[in-house]
Amino acid sequence: MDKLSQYLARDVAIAKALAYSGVALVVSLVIAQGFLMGFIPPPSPNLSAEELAQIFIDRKIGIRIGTMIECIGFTFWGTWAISIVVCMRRMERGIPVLSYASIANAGGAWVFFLLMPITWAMIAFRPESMDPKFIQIMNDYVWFIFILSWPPFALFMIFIATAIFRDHNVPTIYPRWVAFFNLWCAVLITPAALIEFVKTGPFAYDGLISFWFIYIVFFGWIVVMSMVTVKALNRVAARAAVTS
Amino acid sequence: MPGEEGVWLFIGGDLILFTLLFAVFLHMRAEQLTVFTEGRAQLNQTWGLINTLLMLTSSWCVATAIQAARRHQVQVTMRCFGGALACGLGFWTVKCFEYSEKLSAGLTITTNDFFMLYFTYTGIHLIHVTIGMGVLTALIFYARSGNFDAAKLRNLESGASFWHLVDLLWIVLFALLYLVGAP
Repeated sequence: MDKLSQYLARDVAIAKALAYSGVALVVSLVIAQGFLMGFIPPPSPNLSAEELAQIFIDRKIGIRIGTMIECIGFTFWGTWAISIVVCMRRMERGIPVLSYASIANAGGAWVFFLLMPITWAMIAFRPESMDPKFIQIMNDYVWFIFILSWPPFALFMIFIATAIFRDHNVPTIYPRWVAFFNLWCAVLITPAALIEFVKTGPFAYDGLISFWFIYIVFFGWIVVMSMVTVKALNRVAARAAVTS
Repeated sequence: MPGEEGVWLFIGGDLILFTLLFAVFLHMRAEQLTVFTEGRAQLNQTWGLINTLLMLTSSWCVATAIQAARRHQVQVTMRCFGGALACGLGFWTVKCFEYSEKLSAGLTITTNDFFMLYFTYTGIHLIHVTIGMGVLTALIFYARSGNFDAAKLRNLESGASFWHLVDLLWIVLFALLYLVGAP
């Protein structure tokens, strides 16, 4: 192995660690938001302000610890996304438009991720002395940030799919089904837009479609992309070793 | 199998979502039978039927376009895709009339659970129609240069398969929303 491919092997190792950080994100989500905070599924948007405030008072310690963990876990969104962008960069010839657009997109989306646990942590900071109506607004705000912010994420999926379709490598860095999988996810998260209109039923923010289905698709997408990205990075390293 | 495997992963995945949506509908209908029967009676079956005919025609156009592409008839292929696109536009227009009719009658997404599902399901389907029209437009430009080799035919078939999915979903939606429980 020459010097260049030695460097590349080290870069690939870092990129693989970033790809695995997506799995860490999902695990921390289940532990923090699921077990510690009890917000999988969310409290119903149909609850009265007083009932909701009581939840935050009862669970405040769990919510404080949970949001602390989730702040760390959600930080991995940025690292995970970049592991994909690294692969996208190797698919693009000429001007790397999709790679640049994806970096900007991933950086922006990071803010939405971190705002969620930070806002919850603020509610759990002094829930007894806060007006329940105010708690209700802040809690709605978290779920709206979580679910209504779907378009940039769908756009990232479309960027990934487009890059795979235009990949000039033979064979392509990602298998082509990954492109269709991303398009599929992009279409599937669109019903998220409907949470604005309803407080009960499958399209409310605690509903079967708007919460469970979209949640599973979105975080399932992160895990699947982690796995295929690790494999893709292995192929990038193997190919470099052959050509050098 | 027409088109490439990946597009079937996409179609299968979309069918999972709609199967879930259809199951939710039937479950909620069973729980609130009167609301759903009354709601269905307030729908205009003529609009639904026109849209069904438009969807079926568009599917026929798309299938004919693929046949023509296999015979290397560039003009026919482009015109047939264009015909399907026109049907899609017609579908949109009918939906606009239908929605405005409902809204002016005071029927909105918050009226009751039937109309919540009516607006959301047809809305999700309309997103599919819009994406499909984008696909059809791309196919028209893609077909323009001719040279229908195996790879190009496969790509055309992939796009056409997606449009057939849009048609199929509407057929089920039409039956579910407009016809189930009709006298």
